[in-house]
Amino acid sequence: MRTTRQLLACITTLVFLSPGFAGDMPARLSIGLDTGVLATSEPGYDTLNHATVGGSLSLSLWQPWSMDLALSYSWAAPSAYSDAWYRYRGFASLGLSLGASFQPTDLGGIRFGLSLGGFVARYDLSYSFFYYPRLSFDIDYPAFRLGSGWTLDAGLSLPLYFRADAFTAGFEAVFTVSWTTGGGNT
Amino acid sequence: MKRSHSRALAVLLALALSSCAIPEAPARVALLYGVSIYDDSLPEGSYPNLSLADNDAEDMAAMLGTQGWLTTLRTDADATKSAILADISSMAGFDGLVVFYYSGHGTYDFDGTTYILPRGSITTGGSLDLLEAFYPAELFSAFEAAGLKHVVVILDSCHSGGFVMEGATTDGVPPLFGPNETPDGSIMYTWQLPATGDAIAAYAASASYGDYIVLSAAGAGDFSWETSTHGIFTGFLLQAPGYADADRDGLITTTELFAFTAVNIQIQWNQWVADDYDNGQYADYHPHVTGSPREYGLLFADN
Repeated sequence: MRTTRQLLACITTLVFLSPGFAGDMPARLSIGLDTGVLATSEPGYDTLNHATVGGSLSLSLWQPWSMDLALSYSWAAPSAYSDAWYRYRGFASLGLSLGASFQPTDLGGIRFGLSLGGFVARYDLSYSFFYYPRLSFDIDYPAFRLGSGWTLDAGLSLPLYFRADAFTAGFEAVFTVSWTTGGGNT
Repeated sequence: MKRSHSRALAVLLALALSSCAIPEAPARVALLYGVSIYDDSLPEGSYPNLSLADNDAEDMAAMLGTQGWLTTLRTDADATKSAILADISSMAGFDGLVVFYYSGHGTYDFDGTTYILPRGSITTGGSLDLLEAFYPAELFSAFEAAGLKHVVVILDSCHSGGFVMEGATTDGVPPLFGPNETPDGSIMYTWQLPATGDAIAAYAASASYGDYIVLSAAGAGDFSWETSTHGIFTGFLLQAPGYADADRDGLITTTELFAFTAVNIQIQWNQWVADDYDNGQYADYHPHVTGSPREYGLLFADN
């Protein structure tokens, strides 16, 4: 119960911070979906690929340089089987990331971002949990302007999972609905 | 621009779908041991003898045989430590998949080290000779000495969770399972947030799980029980081809076996039998599985 309250407090803070910064300070609140392919390798064993899907809620403050805070949940499916009939287990991750992004004024709204987060994952069908830091390089652009500060953004993310016993990297297509307030909508 | 988008999507789709294909079965060998009779002067079921551990190994061998595994089976007087070590040594150079299955007694010593007890490790009169038993590092060293890379260990014995290494993970199932235990043996966490502290500590410790995947019937503090036909855990393993393929890919993995046996022991033993008499003799118990990134496909699912 205590941890559930902590999570709710975290989400509530994220959501309610945004209007607090509205006005002259540019702020962007986004909800995103991502899907892509990961490759995992354990030392001494094959590199195998698996699919991933996820969602995130994020808040960005200031422009053109932004500070980004994101709460993410994702699932990596089990990998393909190797010839020796092993595969890497699927897992669901919950994490919080902090990063920085840059949106040049002369590139049509394209944003470049770098974030570092801490994630806790649960292997599918088990009670085994593990932690990993994740570094992510992101690029996105406002594919559609929906008016009143709303945009539909499309982008690409290159995540690196620094797991204790394996290494995972991949690329993901990211689709985000964003609401920008203060400082104008780019 | 549209064409490049289509190509990117096609590559993504192809990579994702490639995870659905199952390669041709590798060479597979199962070493199976079941010890019911520890003392020839006593009948089955009279301590230290068990009733069904030999049947467990025989039926597991039969089931794996129908699935295309080559099997080596030893029961009772043939299932000694030296015979087991000889079997493992004879596998030297084998680069396929190996299952090591054991059903029989298990125990732990004063410092918490867990053992499986092959024939000869319980002497006449019921005292233990731990030099004739296996502790985890000793068993794993035998596999390593034989150069075996792909080994799955399945143990149906009391305290067998002591062979299951968490590695860089934290296991939400306590080693002494059950809501009526002291301390409370309920599952500690079922989702990520409550596990955060322990998971970060496990990451910082960065312990190795030891390369070999272990599926145990019970926790390091648990007993493991027999019914009228099999060890309960083994009974569910034998049913696994019909029911345990959770992702419907046609192959049942070590994790799927863990989930299937855990759910069924919980529903069909812990909730209906053990809680009525949970005074230490009829304790709840829960399977455990190694906290490894890898899992192995072991059984074809019945379709």
